Amino acid sequence: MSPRAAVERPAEASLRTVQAPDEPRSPLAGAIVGRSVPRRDALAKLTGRARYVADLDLPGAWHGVIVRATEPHARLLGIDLDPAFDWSQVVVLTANDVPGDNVVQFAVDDQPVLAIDEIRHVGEPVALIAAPDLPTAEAARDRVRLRTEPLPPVLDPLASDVAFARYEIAKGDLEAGFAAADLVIEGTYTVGRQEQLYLETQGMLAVPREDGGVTVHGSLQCPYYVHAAMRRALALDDARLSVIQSETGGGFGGKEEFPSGLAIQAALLAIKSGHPVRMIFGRHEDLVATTKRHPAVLRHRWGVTRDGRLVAQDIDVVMDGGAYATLSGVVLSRGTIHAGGPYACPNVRIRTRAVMTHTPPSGAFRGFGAPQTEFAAEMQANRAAEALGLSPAELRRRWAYGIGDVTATGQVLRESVAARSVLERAVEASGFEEARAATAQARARRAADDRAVGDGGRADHPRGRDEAEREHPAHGIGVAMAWHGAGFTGSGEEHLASVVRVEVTADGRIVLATDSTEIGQGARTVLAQLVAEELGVGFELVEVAETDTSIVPNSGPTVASRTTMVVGGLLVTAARRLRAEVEERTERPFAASYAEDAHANGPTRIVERFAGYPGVEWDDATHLGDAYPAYGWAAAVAEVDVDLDTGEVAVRRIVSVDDVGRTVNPLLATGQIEGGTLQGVGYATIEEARVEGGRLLNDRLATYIVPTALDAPRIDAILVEEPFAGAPHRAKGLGEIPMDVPAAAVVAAIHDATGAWIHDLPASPERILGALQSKEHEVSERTAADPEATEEAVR
Amino acid sequence: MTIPRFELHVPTSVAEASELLRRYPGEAVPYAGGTELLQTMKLGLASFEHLVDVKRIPALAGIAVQPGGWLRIGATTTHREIERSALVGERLPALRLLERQVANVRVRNTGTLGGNLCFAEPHSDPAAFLLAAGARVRLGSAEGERELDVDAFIAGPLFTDRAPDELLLDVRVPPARPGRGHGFAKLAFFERPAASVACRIDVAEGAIADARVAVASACESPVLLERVGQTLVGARGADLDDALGAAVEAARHDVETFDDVNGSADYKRHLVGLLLRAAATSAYEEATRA
Amino acid sequence: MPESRTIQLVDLACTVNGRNVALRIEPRETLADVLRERLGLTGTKVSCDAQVCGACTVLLDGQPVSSCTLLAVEASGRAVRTVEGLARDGSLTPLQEAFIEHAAFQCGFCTSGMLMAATALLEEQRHLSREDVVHALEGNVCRCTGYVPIVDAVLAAAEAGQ
Repeated sequence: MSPRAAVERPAEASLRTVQAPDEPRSPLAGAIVGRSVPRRDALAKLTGRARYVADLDLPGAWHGVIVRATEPHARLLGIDLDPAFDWSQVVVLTANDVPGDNVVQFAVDDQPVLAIDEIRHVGEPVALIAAPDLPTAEAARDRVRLRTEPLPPVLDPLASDVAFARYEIAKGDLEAGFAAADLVIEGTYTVGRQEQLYLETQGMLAVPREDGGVTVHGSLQCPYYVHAAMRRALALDDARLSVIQSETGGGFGGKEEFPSGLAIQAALLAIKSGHPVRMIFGRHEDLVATTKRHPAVLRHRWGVTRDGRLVAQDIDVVMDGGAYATLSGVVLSRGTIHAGGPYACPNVRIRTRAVMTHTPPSGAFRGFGAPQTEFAAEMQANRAAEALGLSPAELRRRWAYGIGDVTATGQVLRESVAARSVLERAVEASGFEEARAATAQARARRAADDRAVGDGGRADHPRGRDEAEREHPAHGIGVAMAWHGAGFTGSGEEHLASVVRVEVTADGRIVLATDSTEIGQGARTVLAQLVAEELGVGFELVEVAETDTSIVPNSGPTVASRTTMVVGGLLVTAARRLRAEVEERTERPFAASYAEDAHANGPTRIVERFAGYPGVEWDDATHLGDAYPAYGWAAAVAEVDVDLDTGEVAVRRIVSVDDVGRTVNPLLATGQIEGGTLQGVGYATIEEARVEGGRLLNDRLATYIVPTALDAPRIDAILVEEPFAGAPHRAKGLGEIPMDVPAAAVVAAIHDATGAWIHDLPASPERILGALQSKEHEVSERTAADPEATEEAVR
Repeated sequence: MTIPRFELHVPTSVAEASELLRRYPGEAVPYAGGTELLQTMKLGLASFEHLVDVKRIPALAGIAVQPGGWLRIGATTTHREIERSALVGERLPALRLLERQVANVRVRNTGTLGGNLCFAEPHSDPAAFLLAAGARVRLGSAEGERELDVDAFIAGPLFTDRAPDELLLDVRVPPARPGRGHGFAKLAFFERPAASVACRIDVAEGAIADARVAVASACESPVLLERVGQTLVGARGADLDDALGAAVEAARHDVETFDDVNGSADYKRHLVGLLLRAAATSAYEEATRA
Repeated sequence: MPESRTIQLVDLACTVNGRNVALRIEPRETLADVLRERLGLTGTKVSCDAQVCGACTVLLDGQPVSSCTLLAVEASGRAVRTVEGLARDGSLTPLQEAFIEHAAFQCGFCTSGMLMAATALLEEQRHLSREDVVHALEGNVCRCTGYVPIVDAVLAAAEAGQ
């Protein structure tokens, strides 16, 4: 297969809008950057040759399994092994066998590798077993009994008095803001747990080494997170530890923090047994044991003037962190900063907390706190537009951030603010106002029909519509916006101090080295494009080093929409330095001289370390300042059909317009938007990991439902480029923002179709029916009421 | 998850299979497509030392029209074979439509009608259809054969009237004929139906002479709602809508729904009503089509 | 159950990607087990292990089946095809080409199953509507792409005369 520089797509066969590289070319495109070069991993993935961790063939490898707690909260009194079982054929480990600190290292040292005295959630690892074959390991697991004494669990986050993190940020004068308001829009919103549902389950293969160390191969996003956690728990030095990422079948945040614990567990078994140990989760175990998106309760009070100004935002957020802190603090921080939405408001107070409950830990998932808080903010914006009698697009035109606006953390937005341009593109591409006028007419017609039928409607046919209308469900259209800070929050990037390397090897190969992982998003392709562009060489000439901590430097985790912006930026700088150094020596263009130079003068190796974005100031103590060096901006318009009898929603079309600063690979960027959009649609309509009594109810793929091809709407992904001057290549992040924006757009479209607001995600058919019924009551009660009554739009 | 170890037997006659089942009481089970059985064994919900593969027994295979117009579907017929059968398409278009929507194409390629019925799984759409259609099943063992209504065969949730040494041989569906129509409607999230309703209506001299209504998924096992069908009897043209309204009321009253991740018991009762209206309407239309 | 019972082994003779395979296996081995562990054909993936996600889809006499929950002995005397058998002599099928052009895969874990399910459809039906493709693929879960690129790729391959 030869790399194809351009991708032609048949206009009729495709339902997608892709910025085809040659027509019209972005003014920012280069020879390689801005073009849809084919993915690096195409051939391997399409022919079945790509090796995921379960595919690694290591003769003599044992199988490891985990004994898990079955209670949400209990004192662990003992671990009993059935004497009837032959334990000589297996290896069993408990907390006492952890040589280093019994901690899975994150921000807070609260999560043990194996529970020691107290069980804090169903599914918590308590003991480990390895055996030469899986059936034996599973049989042994069934012969372990945990002796426990139940303790009362805390299951309601609102009742929890243990907070992993709290933030309060404020600006202006909230009281004065509300005093100036003519209307107060209030709402309480809830969002459920969402499972990442990467197709490849968690898996790790640990290989013991002769030096007493261990090498792990695994499905993971962040090799150096795993590395650091292993060093600590196994009490091993760097020289005796390697973490190698195998091909990874999706992550979406689910392989950010979780693999650290699993790698330690596999390594413990490998060291103890003296054999390589494979631990590959089945789907059921993966669903039960791994992190989910934080569920949250979000309370908002916004003050708005009659002439349509936003003057006050008072926001209170509670996220359920589950049993251990994991990344709750940082998830909450990002959620907090984004909680007001991309809207300028002079008087703001945002108070948030992430609390402990005896449920499986919540963790990272694409969007990282922002989808939750931005859903609520967009609900508020849409309800405010309704209360003011304004188009939701017009309202956003007035409110959206522009250059010079100041965010809730006091950040002055100096550049690269595309809020209004993404909005206009989305409104235009979707025909938003025309469609909205049509749906308003249809709604009025239905209301007139309902009045005509009066109370004569049958119970199974409540709206009294004729048969033709039954076959044509109610259509609605809705809009939402999002902003998403790219990179780590606040001083995070400075603390990370990421390192990359670009080199010409002695044998004349160009190699870029980073621990940024390919998890499907196309990192290896995009990063190679950036380096090839800077060096002025063909894309195919740039090799990407294997993601092995013994080879690649610590460029930070593959999270937070930071790979293209932060790591890509470092690589661009490194490549520029490399080029300059070689050209200075050879006095000829790099492309024509690097190979020769390598043979004559040996390798040239450039190591680049992150040194901060210019002019970015952040105060960790107050949580105020420049929260992110740059933000991505997005707007989405959703169109839905709602069956008014069953409450079923079919999402027909999403127009998602996303600002990326500068597009590196249009086809891959489009893929990020499409994939994130469908995850957002799932979040909005069907996905919820339901935990009751501390137990996950839908713990199989047959019951945790995700969108299928049948549910997928037409997705028009449109890229907008508002360059970020702070990055050498002017690109911003894109991985997460497409996930932030669809849910509120879908719920707004459901409202447009039905007149009912759904405050709780997912907007399930049953919730929609319930809202329709209560709306009917509401309408009949309000008909003769004073118009002033609408001033206070209380949930 | 590993499937626990078992011994596989491949008999070629009903007597031989029945003999095997009798030889290992409590340890042997008939095995056809394995879609349900292997799953339950993987999950440790059931364990069997002996699997008796019934797919090589000719008496359990094939789709054919029998004298009198009954449609016989052998127990080892896959969903996919039913979906693609011209005979089924001609005579029972609603069954074909239903089969086209069972689970996914892979399950339809291996899963059999007999296996589906013998599991008496609450989510069995085919069972709902066969209940409404008044189908009969034939069971066979070394002792001989017996025949009974699907209604009698499905004895409860995950429980049938089949004796341990008996095989389900086939299902026989009463003849399609002028004045008779079948209808089916379901609402599914992903592959798990939240509720499905099947209906058979016979029309004579412009009025509904007989109606049978069955529900699956919303309740603990597929069930025939006899009283509901009766509320439709006698209805004709103009008053059909009122009769449907009464049937909907009756169905919502009679069906015993339960809460699960697809929705509350109340929501499912609501759905049963809606689906009944849809299924009965299409059955009536088919029955009255010239 | 007597612990001393001997383990039953059965013969499996079939073709896999056109090549004859003869093995002695345990009846409980699934087709996915045999392909992955005995034949080293790890392109077939196991994800849900419950016939829901389609990652393990292979073709048995041209029809898609879930190899995770199909006993390997069921393949006796039949033709099994896996993702490894699609490209011939290093040249990709029009469907695989279309997957590249349409970016119809990202993480790659659903890809083998998608390719096999789509291959069965394309071999059976020449003229495909979008609805046909969606119906054939609705039992294959992808979490990365949003599906539209996959459906587009299958339609393009049909157009290209796969």
